[in-house]
Amino acid sequence: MSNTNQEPQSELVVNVTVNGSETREIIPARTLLSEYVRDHLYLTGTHRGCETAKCGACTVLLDGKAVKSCNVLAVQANGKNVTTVEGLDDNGTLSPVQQSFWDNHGMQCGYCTPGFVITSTALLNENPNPTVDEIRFGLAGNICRCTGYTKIIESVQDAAQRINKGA
Amino acid sequence: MRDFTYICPESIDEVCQLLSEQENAFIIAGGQSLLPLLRLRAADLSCLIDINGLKNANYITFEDQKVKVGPTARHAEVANSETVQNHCLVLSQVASHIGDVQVRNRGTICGSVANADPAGDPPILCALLDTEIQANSIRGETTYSGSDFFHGFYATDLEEDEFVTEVRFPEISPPTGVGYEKWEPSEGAYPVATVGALITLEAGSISEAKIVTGAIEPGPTFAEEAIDILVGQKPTTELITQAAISVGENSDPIDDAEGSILFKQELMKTLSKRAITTAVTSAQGGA
Repeated sequence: MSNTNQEPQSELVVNVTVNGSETREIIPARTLLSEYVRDHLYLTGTHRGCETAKCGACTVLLDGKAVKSCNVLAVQANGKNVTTVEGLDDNGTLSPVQQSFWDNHGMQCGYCTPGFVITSTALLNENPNPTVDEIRFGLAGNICRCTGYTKIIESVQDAAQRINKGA
Repeated sequence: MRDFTYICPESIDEVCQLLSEQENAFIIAGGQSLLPLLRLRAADLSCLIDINGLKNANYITFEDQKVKVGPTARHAEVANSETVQNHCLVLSQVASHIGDVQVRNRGTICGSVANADPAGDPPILCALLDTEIQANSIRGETTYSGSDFFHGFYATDLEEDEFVTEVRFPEISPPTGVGYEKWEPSEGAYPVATVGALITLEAGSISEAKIVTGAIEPGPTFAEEAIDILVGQKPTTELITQAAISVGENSDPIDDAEGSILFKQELMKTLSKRAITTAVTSAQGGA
């Protein structure tokens, strides 16, 4: 879709590649990306927490970069690639980050977990060998209100080891 | 969120045309400040013009002794840019600590400058470095000077039909140095107090000094008394301390939930001492 030389529209057609599948919907311009993946595509792994861009539970990858999907319009993802937590596994085999969160119990209630898993995946893509300080800094945009941060950081450290070993 | 219309043009001319034609139109770049406001219905607009589709707008270049930042260059890209690190290190350092990683992946320098949040970092840095702020409208191109562009809460010299198309930062190298400090209640939160210092040395004395405070007042504010204390003197620890105390005591913070006036003034003294010390060290050629 190109809006060039068109009038501004209140409803638009969007084409977004989500977890490798092409999606196409007609949506109101004000639809948030978090609403799009949950209410239009029924991918409810992306959690809405604060909806004020503070908590990071709704984090998804937009063209490989971690963004808060409650703070991006769905129309802004038009023509782009979105990865949600449902898109991380390989035909049922958990990704190294998912498996590490599972094995290290990197969660308490689990509500923030999809966001942490996505942000950690992006962090390890950019920095495969982060220090604890780098992990803390890189996860500053995600809040665990159970305060289970210690296990989350251990999970990311473990995931880094798995990735570096090629596991 | 209220309904609005949306368009994603590909050229600056189209954006200018739309800004002049559409009633109550807003620009969205990163949207990290705008979307929360829209959700709270605190911003009322009828048309959103998305500049993320602009061709050749995501650039960071070094030309004419200036680091030029395009309208869709993200904070993360500015922070990681070798061009920025080589010619204006403080910009890279500041950009790498704006908000959190998700915010830095979306937010833009040009957008922060246009938004002029009192606690935002780019406006404070633009005032300190007297950055050139370029804006376009159907009337043509205007260049504003960063040191007198900001006028309090979300207020700038920008006209309603203009939008920021480039911000140009000067090259910073010895004998000029810059220090920048802020205090955030938690990592990634909006700072409660921010200060930037710029020092130029000549024959061991301070020939030029600038100190800008932010977050405590409605907009970037020059600490004139402290600047007068520094200029013409040798940068001793005693002098820096005296200037830092002056920054705090002469500041006029807003009393709010994030801190009392006294707390913010004390914070400002400490931050100023660190910022001026860093500026002097880097002006001397140190790290």
